[in-house]
Amino acid sequence: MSVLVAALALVVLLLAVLVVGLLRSHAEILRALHDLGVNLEDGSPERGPGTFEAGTRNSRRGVAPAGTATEDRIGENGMGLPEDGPMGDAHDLMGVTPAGDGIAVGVRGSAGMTLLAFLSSGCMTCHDFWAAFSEPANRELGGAATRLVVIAKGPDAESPSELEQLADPGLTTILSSEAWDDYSVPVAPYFVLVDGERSRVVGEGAAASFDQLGSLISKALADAGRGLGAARSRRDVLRGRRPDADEALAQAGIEPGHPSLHEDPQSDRGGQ
Amino acid sequence: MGPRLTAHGLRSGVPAGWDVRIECRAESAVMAPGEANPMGGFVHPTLHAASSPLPADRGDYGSGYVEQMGPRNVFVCLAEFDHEAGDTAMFADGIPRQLSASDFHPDAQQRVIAGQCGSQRFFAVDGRAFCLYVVLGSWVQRALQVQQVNQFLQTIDVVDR
Repeated sequence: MSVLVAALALVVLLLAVLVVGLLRSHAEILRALHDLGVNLEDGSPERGPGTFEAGTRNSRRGVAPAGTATEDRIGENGMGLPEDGPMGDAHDLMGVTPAGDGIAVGVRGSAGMTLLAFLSSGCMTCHDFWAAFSEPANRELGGAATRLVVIAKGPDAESPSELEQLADPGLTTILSSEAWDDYSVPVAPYFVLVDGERSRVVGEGAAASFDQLGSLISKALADAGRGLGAARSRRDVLRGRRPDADEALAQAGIEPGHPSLHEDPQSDRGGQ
Repeated sequence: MGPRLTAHGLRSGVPAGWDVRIECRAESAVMAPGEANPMGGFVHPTLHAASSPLPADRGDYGSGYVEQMGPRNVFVCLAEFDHEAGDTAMFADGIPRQLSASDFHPDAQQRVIAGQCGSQRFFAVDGRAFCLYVVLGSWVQRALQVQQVNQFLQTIDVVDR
């Protein structure tokens, strides 16, 4: 009898250990999902007015049906909607700067991601983004390996002098109506995330504020496997461990002794 | 013929995936003492082309970019000088269209960066004087990379402003 009781106690103990292990694993998975922007708790807030979609647009809310004319892809809140269906090809950009200089930006085949921000001088929501992008730190929404390019319509539809006031000189800004057509942009503000190595669009849509854009871009990069956590091991993801600054810089190709950490980029200004 | 970018009396092709800028820096609002010229002299157009993204903030000869360019990248700079310079013997006639690997040397860079090499030529077109400055990302791979540069040089034209 005592042997049977001891055996049962052992079995109960083993089951208890197993249940504790499962609960811990469940908690780690929930924590990892939360870090990636997924909230499974009851009463979690609804998605905001942003419509940025990554990867595939199928079965997602805030998406216009396939075949909708570009100018009709505007939601009830006035924000642009992406079109249902597979993402399109990337296009290189060419136009003029607000100062009237010629500018061409290679998007296809470039290393890393390019975030295209389609803004105008007139829309009030855009002013939040113009102001945010005047801060260099805010131009690295998706990390140092993601490049930001702001695109306004061409001089025939925009005021270059007004844009010159809004666009920080350190911000790569293009006036090109052709780019708006190439990327089928319905209305400003609108954002397109391009994977240069695959020459493909991997996410597009609108965001109502800079803060919302930041979280949406992080999520889109993670969906595309290009976030700062892309190189994390499964163990790191489940344990919620994030890369430290050195690891994040290394992932962006900046190692100790990299010239960009020491050089002054303005040192030969006006050096003719 | 692919897309072409034109500004400030310069025109160039835009190879797929390349960044190209044709810029004219703003003149200084301060006049030089006792002269009718702005402080720092008149500014002239510069053309920058690179096979990887150009940062918005760059020096006339590519500082801000060349330090971060990779070993597979090339950088081409065309900087215009004052017209008077075009009459001097240093400026040969016509745009150099064909550089060779032997034209490049690590010491020909504006600031020597390990592993890279550069080349500089001076020329004039219709009285307009220019400096062509090219940086290759790899001294070892210069024979291959100079071909990329030569293809781009074929697309450059000096046109009416």
